[in-house]
Amino acid sequence: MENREKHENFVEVTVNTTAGSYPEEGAERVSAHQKVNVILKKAADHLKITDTSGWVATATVDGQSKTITVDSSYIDNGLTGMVDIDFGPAAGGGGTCMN
Amino acid sequence: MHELASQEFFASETRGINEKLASIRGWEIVTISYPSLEVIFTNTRLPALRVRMVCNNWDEDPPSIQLLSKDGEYLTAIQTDPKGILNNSSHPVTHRPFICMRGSREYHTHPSHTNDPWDGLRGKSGYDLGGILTKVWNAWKEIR
Repeated sequence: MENREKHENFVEVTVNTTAGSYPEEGAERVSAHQKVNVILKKAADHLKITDTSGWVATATVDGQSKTITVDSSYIDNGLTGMVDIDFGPAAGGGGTCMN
Repeated sequence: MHELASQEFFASETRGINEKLASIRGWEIVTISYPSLEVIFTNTRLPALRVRMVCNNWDEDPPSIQLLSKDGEYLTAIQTDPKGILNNSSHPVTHRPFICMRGSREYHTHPSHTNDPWDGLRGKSGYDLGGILTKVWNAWKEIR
């Protein structure tokens, strides 16, 4: 019981972007109570992404893609075990071309 | 931009677009070979969309973004997203539906946007090749 409780206190996370993944190999083991934005910042720093304002982080939960509340923890986001985060800019500006 | 420089720039900016990312996003990678970055967007709700970014003279010029059927035929009509980024009208240069979004060559060469040049976006975060492709993908997912 004690080992399972300890296991549930951690997640194994990768952050995936078109600039690359963090970590480059494997996953990072972090506390499930940690806010998701901590690893997103590490990923951005590692991948030399200078500005992630307006970016969206998503992950699959129960087979569905879900937008992550990055200021909340993995637990609060319903994320457990192996977590593959997809991180990238939202839909761009524009949409006003008139003929 | 010197052709070799464009090729190297293209290579560095597409290095992270790999099978793992494609699997997570539901992309099928058709080709990543200068000047073409071409993927097929798939999900369970929408018909697949094949997107070809032609990146000649990158990043002096933004990519030309072509919209194709899964089999590679130019689309003559497309489903549109709420913002109008997937634009179903005939572009004055290509005469086809196009991506009306900052970062696409079709946007910056459209008469509606002569006051919004690519020069102001070049090198900014989210306006690399992967960022532009991601934005198109996110617009596509918004189709109702």
